Amino acid sequence: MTRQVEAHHYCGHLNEDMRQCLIYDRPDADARLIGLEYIVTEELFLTLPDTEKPMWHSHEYEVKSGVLFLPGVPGPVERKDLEKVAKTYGKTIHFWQVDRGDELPLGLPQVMMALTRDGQLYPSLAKDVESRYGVSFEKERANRAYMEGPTHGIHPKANAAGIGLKTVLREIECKPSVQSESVPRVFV
Amino acid sequence: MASSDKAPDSMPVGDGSVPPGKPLTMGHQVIDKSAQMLQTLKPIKQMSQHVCTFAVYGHDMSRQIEAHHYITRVNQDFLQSAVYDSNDSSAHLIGVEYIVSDRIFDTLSHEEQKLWHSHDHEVTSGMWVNPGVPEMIQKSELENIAHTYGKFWCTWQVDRGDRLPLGAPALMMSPQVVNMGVIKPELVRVRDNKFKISTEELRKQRANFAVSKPGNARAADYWMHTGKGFAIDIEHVEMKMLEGPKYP
Repeated sequence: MTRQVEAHHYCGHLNEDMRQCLIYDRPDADARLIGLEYIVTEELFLTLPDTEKPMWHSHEYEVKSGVLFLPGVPGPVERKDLEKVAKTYGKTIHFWQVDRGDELPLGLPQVMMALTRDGQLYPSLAKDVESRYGVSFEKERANRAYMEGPTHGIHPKANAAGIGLKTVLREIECKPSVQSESVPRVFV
Repeated sequence: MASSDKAPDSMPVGDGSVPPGKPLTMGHQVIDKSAQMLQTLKPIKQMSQHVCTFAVYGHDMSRQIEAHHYITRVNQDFLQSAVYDSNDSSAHLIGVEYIVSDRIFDTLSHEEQKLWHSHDHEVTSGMWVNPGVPEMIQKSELENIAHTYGKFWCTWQVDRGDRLPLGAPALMMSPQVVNMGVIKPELVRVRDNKFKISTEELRKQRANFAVSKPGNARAADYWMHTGKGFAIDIEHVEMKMLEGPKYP
């Protein structure tokens, strides 16, 4: 929660209920590909196994607070999209921890959580984005007040069920492929 | 919960489509088109190569997939790619691969190197292909790639039948000349027919490429030295919270 990142998503629809996004650290030509996100409607989210749901986060707060926005897209068009996004859930994995100064994508993937209420986002990060893009989160919050989150409310298992998630590396015996049994093994 | 979980807990089957869901509505198509016209989308416009190759799951090397990389060459020593399971417009985004030159690879710690795989065999065997691009045009790029190392995280195990991206990311390994790294001939045949190429011909043409042999100092292709792969586990931990109202 203490480490927060500005993320630029480049999204495409697989169908009406699902999007897949590439995440970059900047909207520039030399941006670093730092992760990806999958976004699904509430309907699809509810079909996920309970063990899977904690890895997904809700989008209601990000949308309604104004911090999630489509740069360059006029408000009315943007809001037509975001009223749907407010009801979705996302699974975000980051591979490159640029915020801690890594010059290369080191270590293990991180399962990312989203902002879920006021008081979490560092004001300095917010102000920086607002001034660069000429947007006002407060103003957008008012424009988006009519939007609603998931029809069934935010699922209790989403957002890591309120605790954190960590990825851990484990060594595992390799399973030999059946068809290449005749090929000599190289292990020293 | 782990990347090596045998099969995910069951999900409703429905019509079996991957992912499940309704066709894109006209409303959304319009929004997408508007956004596309108004936004610059610079990072994704840097993708300059489509590569078709194969990868093997690090935690279960009997599972092999055809992978489609959409690559951005960032500089002489670094490339980043979005990986899909096909080259169709309906392709699933299945992961991300980072590629570094051997020069950069040698600066990584031993622990970090274990997560990476070599590319020399993948290139010289003809597995790594730019569909539709004449070999001659690609030659210098291929020779460069043959000296690189990759780190490939797969986030959607479509080959396992997952209709949505489930579980922890999986670490992938590259095709190799021995045992568990050998790509099933049937997979190669299907790929070759689809793109009207001959992997065998490419192998012959590339036989003279100078390669960067992973020496003893390099820990890439960990499974080849140890017989062990890697799985990723997801564990619950106490999230580090913000301290009261005091933050910058």
